[in-house]
Amino acid sequence: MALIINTADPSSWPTYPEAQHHIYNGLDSPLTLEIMGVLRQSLGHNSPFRWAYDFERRMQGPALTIMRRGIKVDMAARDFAVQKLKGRVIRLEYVLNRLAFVWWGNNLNPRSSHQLCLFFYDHLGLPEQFRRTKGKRSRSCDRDALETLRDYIHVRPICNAILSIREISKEIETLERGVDSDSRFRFSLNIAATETGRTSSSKNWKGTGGNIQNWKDDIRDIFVPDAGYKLGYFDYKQGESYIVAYEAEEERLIAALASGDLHTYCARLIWPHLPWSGDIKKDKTIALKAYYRHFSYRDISKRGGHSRNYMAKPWTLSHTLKISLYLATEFCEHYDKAFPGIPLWQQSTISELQRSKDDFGCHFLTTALGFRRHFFGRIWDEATWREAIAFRPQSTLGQMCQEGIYRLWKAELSGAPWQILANMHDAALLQFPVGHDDETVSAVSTLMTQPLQIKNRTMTIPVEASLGFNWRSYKKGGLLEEHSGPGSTAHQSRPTFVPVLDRPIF
Amino acid sequence: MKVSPTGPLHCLMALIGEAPGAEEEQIGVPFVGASGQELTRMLSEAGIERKHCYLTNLFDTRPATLRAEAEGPFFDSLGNPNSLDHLSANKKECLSYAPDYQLPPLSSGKYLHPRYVIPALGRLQREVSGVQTNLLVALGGTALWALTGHAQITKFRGYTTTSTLLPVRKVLPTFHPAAILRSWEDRVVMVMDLLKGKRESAFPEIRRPERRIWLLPTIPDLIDFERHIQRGWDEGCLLSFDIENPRGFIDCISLAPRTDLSLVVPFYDPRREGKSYWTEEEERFVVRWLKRILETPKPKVGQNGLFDIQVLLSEWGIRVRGYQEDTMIAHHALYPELQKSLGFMGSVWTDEIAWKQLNPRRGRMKMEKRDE
Repeated sequence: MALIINTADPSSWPTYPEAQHHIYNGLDSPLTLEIMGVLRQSLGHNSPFRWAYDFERRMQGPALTIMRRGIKVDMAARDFAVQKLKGRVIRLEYVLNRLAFVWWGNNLNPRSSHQLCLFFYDHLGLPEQFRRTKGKRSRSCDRDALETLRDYIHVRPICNAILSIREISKEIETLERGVDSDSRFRFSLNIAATETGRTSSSKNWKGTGGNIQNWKDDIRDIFVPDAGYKLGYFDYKQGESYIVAYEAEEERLIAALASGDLHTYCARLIWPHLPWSGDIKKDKTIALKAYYRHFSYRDISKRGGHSRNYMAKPWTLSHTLKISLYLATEFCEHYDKAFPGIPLWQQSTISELQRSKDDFGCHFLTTALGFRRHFFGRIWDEATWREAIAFRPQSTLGQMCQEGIYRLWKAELSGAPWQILANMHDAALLQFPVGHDDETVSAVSTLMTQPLQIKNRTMTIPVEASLGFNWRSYKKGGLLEEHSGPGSTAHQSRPTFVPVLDRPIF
Repeated sequence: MKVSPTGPLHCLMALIGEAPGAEEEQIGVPFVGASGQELTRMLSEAGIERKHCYLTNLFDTRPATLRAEAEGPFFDSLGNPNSLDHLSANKKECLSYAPDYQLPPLSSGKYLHPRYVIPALGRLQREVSGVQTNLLVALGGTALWALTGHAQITKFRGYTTTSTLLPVRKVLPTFHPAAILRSWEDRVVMVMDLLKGKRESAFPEIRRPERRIWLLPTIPDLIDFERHIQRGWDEGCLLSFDIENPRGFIDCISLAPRTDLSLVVPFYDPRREGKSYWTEEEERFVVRWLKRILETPKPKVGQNGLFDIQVLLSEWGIRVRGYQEDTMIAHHALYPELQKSLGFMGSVWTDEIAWKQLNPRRGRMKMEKRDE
């Protein structure tokens, strides 16, 4: 006969060894039911949140398929990658120890937080960085602390080396422990994970796998298709820029996107004084000339433009692009002049956020697809503004991609020959039988292409396909090559060598 | 300068903070600085008038001032004068000062020195005993520690509990307004807590929902419980399920056809030979029984059910069908900025105890093995 307890009367609770664990488990399920009852009241058919709920619920099917299937790992390539990364760590540790020896006559263990604190704060006298864990404030040499210390130019190489060693060590750990015994990398694809509605990935329930979205291109060659299959990587080409352009109703950016070479076209608008010919192919040669050190005009246009779309200030640009503040300021002025609709859109988004209030007085924004996000940060704070500005493009693209994945999954269930392997923020990775390149590209591109209504205009983001026998880009020494067959929008963009001294002098 | 409490002795709720700041010390009234003003705004948003609240702190003097008073001219103040670091010590120091000192630490290894905290607790106890109110609101970890002995405000906030300092008094912990100024995203959570506080202030006792949990079932109990499940489905209710696998295998699973009834099916029992709750034959029956229940295409609900579904499929080959609702996804669709853990949702949307704290070993259990 079962032991029946009343949770409202703790004196009736048993004390056998696992009792608390069982009561805990026994409360979880009725509370789930109770909470669902409360939440359902806000999720009626006319609710503004219904779309998001239904959308995320139906993504569970593809997510489960992806999580269970995993991606095949070439174990020889994995071992080679591990050796390569270990070699990099050894080199970095050698450099770190040489530098540390100069400062304090000893080696430095990048994994010992205590030793790093002694070195940075007690020996070098740098301002102490603190971290609060479980209410306890202690000196820290974590990532945030080292990134702050990096502003002191004399310790910058040491901080960089430590950060790189830690990052590579993490990669090594994932490579060594993340792969299952059947040589597959299975990860947990989290649907309701981020504030923007994009998916995230992490270790799976067995503790293997990891974040699939953060793999650097030079390690991606460990991921291979199953025998008889080929990998296909389908991404929305300049997806966020499309959404920004249509949200901002910025005709010049829309024209740049339609030109086929967004970044060269943008470079033409940002630096109109350069001797442009008007032919986009010839102009690319000019755009690839050095602007600052190893950065070409095109590079700066690409990276700086993306940040500036989300209201990055010159100081932030200078910091992230590693260019001088003067150049960053100049770039921002040129960019705003070239695309005057973007600052106006940013202002209107901020204003919309500040004016919007739901029944509870919370500020929110809604995407073109219908996903609503509340902003609980200070609405007069620039950090909140930047989040608000980035929200619509990032969320819309992420959910468009999920919609694409869902359609591919449904097609797969109906007999399409491909198998979905992963969902990135703006791309899908799948495998399909060898010899079916053109029809797969055509069918997948059709399913992933979705016309979207933004500000009374219909916009379609083109899908770019890359196919190959491992996931590493062909340009970086891998086998994944841009598809140039029917249904493809691929183009070649190979950077030319830019000499270090060939740069403008100010 | 000492800061005196403020507010009526017969009040809606008593708000208890940590220690006064510079402005409070200057004026002699608690919660008048920036954080106090924010507290007033949040109270107002929750429909509570500040004038109906009693406001006080654990310490009636700023920490640095308190220590300076104790140490006299030799005191060398370092750092933030509002920091409790001025009053903290390790356990050895505490015991050497007061050998019977038994108060729990404020955080790992950090104790409040008995020289300061014992008089402060005595004063707070005397002061608040004279206040006629149904609810004490602990603002921040230190106030929570003083009233209940727990200090992890993020784990206990939003759940009503009983005070250990003032027995039988009801305590609702929430964030300190100064923490809100640093982490503005938590403001909405604090307003939710204050709304709950307003509801709770209407009665003195802690009202817990009555739920019947069937523990340590036998095979006939499972068959018996299936009638409740079937009845729930007949009435159009969802069946909620949840697995626990902190040891690397499913050690128990619970099923709830109603919000006041659940069954826990254990699989691990350290007291039994082989550490298995069931005999081999029984376990086969139980897994088949669960398979039948969960594979029926009747409506089901879970919290992050995708995880449970995956584990059930991998471990026992159970293909859950009829999985219609998910609280984590629903909460994310409604409030993408808020936490989506069941513990957090429980603190906001239910009147349950802080049940997630029932299992302190959760997530840290050793990967123990049962005999196969």
